Amino acid sequence: MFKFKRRTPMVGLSLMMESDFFQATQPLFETGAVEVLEWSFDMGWGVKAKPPWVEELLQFYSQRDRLTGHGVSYSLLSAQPGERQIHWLKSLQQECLDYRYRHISEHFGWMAAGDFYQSAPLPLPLTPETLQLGREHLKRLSDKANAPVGLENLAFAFGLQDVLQQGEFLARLLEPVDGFLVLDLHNLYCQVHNFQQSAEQLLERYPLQRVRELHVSGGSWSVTSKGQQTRTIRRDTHNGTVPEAVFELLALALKRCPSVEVVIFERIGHTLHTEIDIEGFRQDFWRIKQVVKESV
Amino acid sequence: DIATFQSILLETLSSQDEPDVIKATLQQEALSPALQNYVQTFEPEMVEIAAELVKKWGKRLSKLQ
Repeated sequence: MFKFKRRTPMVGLSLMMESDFFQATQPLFETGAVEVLEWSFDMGWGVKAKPPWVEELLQFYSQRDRLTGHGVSYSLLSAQPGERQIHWLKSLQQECLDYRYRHISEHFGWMAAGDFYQSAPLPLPLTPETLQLGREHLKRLSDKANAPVGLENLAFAFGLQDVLQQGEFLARLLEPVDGFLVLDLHNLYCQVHNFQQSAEQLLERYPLQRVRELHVSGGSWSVTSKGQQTRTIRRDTHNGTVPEAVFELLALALKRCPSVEVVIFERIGHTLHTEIDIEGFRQDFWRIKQVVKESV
Repeated sequence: DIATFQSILLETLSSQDEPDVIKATLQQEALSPALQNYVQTFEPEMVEIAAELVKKWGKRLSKLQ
């Protein structure tokens, strides 16, 4: 049987507009270490003017077909999206004329309903009704994007049912548009920890053949207590160094997902102030590159 | 329907802190069997976090006008 050697996935960053992010990442951009750039384009829609360096980076990566789009506020599973969705899709259409995106992704879940036009991303159960509305909304996104579309797995779960259903839900949502999966490994790690799951077994519940992009990030812990019982919850806050368990998941995912093209390292702005912060961030970036290189 | 459930869920998470109260409020609603079963799977610690997140990030249309 014949086969090609797999191409090495490109490693890049999720672009933030804060100046501390630019200060920490500038040497990485200037040496060409950032092979691909991800832009959460809808974060820029409400901004009067992007910082000049943000615009320069978007143009640079767009012109070289190394820019990926990652929306955060579409609210795929909102049952009554109304005018909000129409406006969002019009803005996406314009966005895709302004920049050339290799692909466009969004998040599983919903964050808008009733009087709320924004909140936190939340899950829904897999039912014929929720599947149908998710497929309809993903089709609308696909029609406007003029590029391959995908969805990212959600970190938050109300209970174990959400955790165990999400892989199948995503597989069935993506199928009609032949969409791809953005597998966020820290989100997976949150569910592994918070619901005492096996990382390997939970990973296998996802449509791994559809994974085109991996996300790697850090997060934080919070402690909830009720009476004398305390529970430590892993939170997807993108504000810390990458845990060892996520590096292990990265190596495992690269083995199990045959179509990965892009690995994106995420870290929010306003979290890179000290030399220790910046050094930790850069070390994580180089380690991600090393793990990816060793996977091929 | 799902839209009403989503609206009630956000209203409840934004106005209540106690997970038990939030779950009880949702279970008083005339939810479909699927949604009723779904609410029963909610873990108190995760409801607490959802309430915190919705209070932090929630933005209302009525506050825009």
